[in-house]
Amino acid sequence: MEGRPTRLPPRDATPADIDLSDIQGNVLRGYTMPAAAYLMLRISDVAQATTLLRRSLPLVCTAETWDRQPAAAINLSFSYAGFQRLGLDPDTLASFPPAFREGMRARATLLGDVGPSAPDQWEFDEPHVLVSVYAADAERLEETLGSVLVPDTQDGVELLHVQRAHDLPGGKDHFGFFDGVSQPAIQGSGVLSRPGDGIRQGEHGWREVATGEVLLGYPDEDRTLPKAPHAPYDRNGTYVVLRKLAVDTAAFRRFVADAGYPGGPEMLAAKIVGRWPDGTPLALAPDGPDEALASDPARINDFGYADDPQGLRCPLGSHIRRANPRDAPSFFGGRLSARHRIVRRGRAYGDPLPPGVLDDDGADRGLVFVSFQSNLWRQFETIQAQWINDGDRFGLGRDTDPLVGEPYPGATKLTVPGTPPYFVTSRPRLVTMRGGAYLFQPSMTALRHLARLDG
Amino acid sequence: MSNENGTAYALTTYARVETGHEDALDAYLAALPTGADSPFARLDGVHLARVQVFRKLVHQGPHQRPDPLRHAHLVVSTTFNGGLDEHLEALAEHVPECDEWWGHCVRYPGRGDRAAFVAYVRSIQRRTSLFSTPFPTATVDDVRQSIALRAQVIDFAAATQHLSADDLHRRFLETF
Ligand code: HEM
Repeated sequence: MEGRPTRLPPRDATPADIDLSDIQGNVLRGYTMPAAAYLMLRISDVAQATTLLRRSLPLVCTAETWDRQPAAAINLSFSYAGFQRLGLDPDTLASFPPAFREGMRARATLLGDVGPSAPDQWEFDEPHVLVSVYAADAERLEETLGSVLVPDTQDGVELLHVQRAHDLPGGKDHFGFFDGVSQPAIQGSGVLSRPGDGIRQGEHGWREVATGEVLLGYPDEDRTLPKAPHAPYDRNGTYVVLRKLAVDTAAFRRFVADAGYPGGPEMLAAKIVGRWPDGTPLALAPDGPDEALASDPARINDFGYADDPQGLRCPLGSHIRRANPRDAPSFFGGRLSARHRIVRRGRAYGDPLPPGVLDDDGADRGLVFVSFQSNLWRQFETIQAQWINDGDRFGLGRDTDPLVGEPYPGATKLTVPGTPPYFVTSRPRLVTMRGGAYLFQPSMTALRHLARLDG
Repeated sequence: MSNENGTAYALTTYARVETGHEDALDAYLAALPTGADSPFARLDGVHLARVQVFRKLVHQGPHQRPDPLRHAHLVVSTTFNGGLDEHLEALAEHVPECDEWWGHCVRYPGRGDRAAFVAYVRSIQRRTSLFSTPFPTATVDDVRQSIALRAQVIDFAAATQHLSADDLHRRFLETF
């Protein structure tokens, strides 16, 4: 199986000053294991589910550094319904925030999950437990799925849905773009960040994002502790957003080919994303991809938007500029963006549409979007509802994100700034939501508590 | 700062909610229609209106003293162009919903006696201490017209981007 290109090596390790052994590992760094599966479970028998939990604990990977990559790793998270089922006491349940308690389905209108993306079209119900399984290869993945997590009702759990995912050749997404470049640099995490991962400081520098933006129990960008549920869920845990997003690769290819953009389809596609297919940022190289730049970990993410107020290089409405406006004018030198960062751990699923094909082959493919944050509403939901699915914040009226936004009637125009600007109207639906959930990924301490192993 | 900014006026009112009425009031407000069906859409000059219950003041971080409220308060704030008296008259005339929300508050006299209604709202008015508006001089009508014009210009630009300079000129004169 081909994985991510070696030209962009994983971020190095550096001494951490938080308790890595208490934190589930996928939060602070991606495992870079090529095969993955997301198991969505519903608990039918609490005692048996607890036994299953206890049995799987040794496989749960923490954030401690590895001498050698394990052959397989799992991580565990729970929905509010899952916590209810497991019998958390009412006070503790009530201490979780409204977005989490309501769940993703209830937030559909706000999130733009309407029409074909609406919850009544989703492929699976809300899981109680999400088991994320990662493995070095497909065989190890099946082995792990089969051995520890025999997800049958005998174990007191019912398997709702298995979603497999894998790295596509060259680390690209199904639209053909190198993904997984930019991540927030998290203070104290022991991951050596790349320039651009953090928050603008001064004209050229960067600083790390406060730990509390991603993990509960540490000060956040406001220098206070983020609101947290009762112990033991108040420390080293994080909220998880899971969304299965199907993509229509053929529609994307036809859309950029037929738009009549004077710069050509490749440039239009780059203007939509904000990067060239190889990851070169438009902010640094607006005229074409630059292999040297895209292979240089110190440069591939080292840019801002302060010097491009009109979006002449990277359009105001492009996917990456909406999703992280960095130091764009009116984002207070980056201080505003700093409160709306998410750790992305999504993975592609389904086989790529062969190059050049312009008709949909009916295959299911897309992105299992996963993000981690300490506040669902302030971070993921704000990005999704106000930046991706609305253009107002960027002076773009109602127009939504040209790559992943909901194509509401009257909101499907894309403006490519320039002299003159170019307008592309009638963008088709490129992404359809197929199901998802809000979950909580507890600390190891809290996991042991849930497994009744803490005495 | 004051209640006025250019030709715009910001009315801010705090009314003490009758004890025990908080949930009913919240439920009533949550069910109120917004957008074109909002009660305030019946008034010509309203830029923005907000009706909400404050049960406690949000703690904004370490530099702020936590500020618990002894009673819940109904906060009604509106931004409009024109004078306060006309606005209060229009509220009494066209927004019977006032009786519902302020009906849960102490000493509300109803809309029947106009003078009493106006005196009541004035009695619960607070000075607006931070009033910034993107449209200090434009009336609501001006803003509506500008939005329509903007949409028209954008549609025009999108529809004509492939035309030659001459054709573009002709089409411009035809359209505007
Ligand atoms: C099928 C759906 C999606 C696809 C194909 C997609 C693709 C991409 C690509 C190619 C990049 C640039 C590579 C990088 O900087 O890592 C990117 C960046 C990003 N995306 Fe998405 N994305 C999708 C959905 C979403 C959604 C739903 C959100 C958030 C609600 C999101 C948030 C972000 C963020 C925060 C970045 C990094 C921006 C930066 O820091 O510069 N994406 N995405």
